[in-house]
Amino acid sequence: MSFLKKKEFYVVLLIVVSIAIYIPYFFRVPQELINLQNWLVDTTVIIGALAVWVGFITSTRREVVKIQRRRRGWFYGIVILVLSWAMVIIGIGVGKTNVIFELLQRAFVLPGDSTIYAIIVFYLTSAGARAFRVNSFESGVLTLGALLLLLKQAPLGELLTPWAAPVAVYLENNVAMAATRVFSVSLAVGSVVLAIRLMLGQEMALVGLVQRVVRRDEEQ
Amino acid sequence: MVFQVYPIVEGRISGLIIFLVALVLTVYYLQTKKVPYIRRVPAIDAIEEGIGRATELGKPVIASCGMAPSGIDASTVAGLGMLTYIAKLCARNDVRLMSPMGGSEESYTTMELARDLVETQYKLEGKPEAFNIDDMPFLSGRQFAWASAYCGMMLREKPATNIMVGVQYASAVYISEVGHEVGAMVISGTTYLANIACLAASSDYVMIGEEMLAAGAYLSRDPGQLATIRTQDIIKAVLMILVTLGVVGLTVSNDLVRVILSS
Repeated sequence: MSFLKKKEFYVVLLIVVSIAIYIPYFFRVPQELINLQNWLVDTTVIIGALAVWVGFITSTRREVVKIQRRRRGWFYGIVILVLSWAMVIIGIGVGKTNVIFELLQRAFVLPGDSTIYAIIVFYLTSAGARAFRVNSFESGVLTLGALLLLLKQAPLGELLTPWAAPVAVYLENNVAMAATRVFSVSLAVGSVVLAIRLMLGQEMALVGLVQRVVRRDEEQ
Repeated sequence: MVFQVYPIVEGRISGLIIFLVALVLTVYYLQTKKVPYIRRVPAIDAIEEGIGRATELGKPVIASCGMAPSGIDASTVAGLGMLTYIAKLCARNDVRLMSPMGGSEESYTTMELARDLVETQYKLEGKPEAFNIDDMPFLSGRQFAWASAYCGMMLREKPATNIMVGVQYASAVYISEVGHEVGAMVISGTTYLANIACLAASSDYVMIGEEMLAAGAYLSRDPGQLATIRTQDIIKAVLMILVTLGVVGLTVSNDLVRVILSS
């Protein structure tokens, strides 16, 4: 099994898997190749599902150790263990559509989520207040644009300044849209190049195993 | 109307051309071994400054590789690359690194990988004993529960720097604002378009667009990886020319560029 220690093995594996994924995407190919592509995609889903269990068990072990050694916040470890295992047992035992599981979701999870989501508006306001300080020409333009959009969105603004809405719509549909497209294009190109970097084995930060193997090779 | 070439799937010719051009250019630049000029990216440079700040203040650094809602996608790969770099600097400077994991159901996968990457960096720096798995807790598989616990960690530990790179949704503003409240330097990066403006308003430094995806190559200073950034710039320049031609063409009722790009 010495080949597992070679960086080249992982690079070849990456290239073979990438080709098996890319070719059926771009070309009309026999059904066998499409099946291979689907199998690879399904395999990643299965690996992901297994990783969820690995993560869950690791978390459980971590919390158990924390409770046993009475580390800081050990009491919260009990809460985490009880709640997470209760959700798992009830979810698997009675199914996600069962009334008890739905009650747990509706009574505990959703209200908590909604509360935190609602709080964000205050943080957005404080971030906005800092960002819209007019101390340069650019920030002045930014504030003007934001003011026009506020006048359009607020019911009172629409009533008092009906001329603001068309200007704001123009800004949204042309100026903001153009900037968004720039981001979209640059992100798409960046993703393609990142994929090529991974495929060619240049982006090694992700593959911690390879990094260790390379180091071990250097030491030898 | 679109062009069709057998056996290429309809509508994917332009994508295939871009992909092949990028591949050929990358391989070409890899062979030349020249280090191309890369402009400075303030947000990435600020990471070193942020960790230096933590060293001077004797406070920890808090860093996240994002919520990974789609598992290990491009943004999460970039986030993990960045977390690896941060772990290396923290291990070298004896700064405590805290990395709250979670945010989505898929983040369990990322958690295992992130812990392994960070631990590896501590070992590579010759300080395996400095790695503490308790500093990389899994907080929650739900976005807002994770964000609340993340903010709780910041409020208790008062980190000198908060670095959040990867997939960030609505909770990003919440986290970055709390970071600002506790006096941390906030460095963020996301590819989620709706969030870039919010993070630009609430962070000290923000990685915009593809800067985050190129961060791994930028930080490595490796000619091979930098070659791919040169490729990226060339493709962007070609696309800018095509967009300009397309706009002019459509203005004079000629949709040739649109047809080519839709093919």
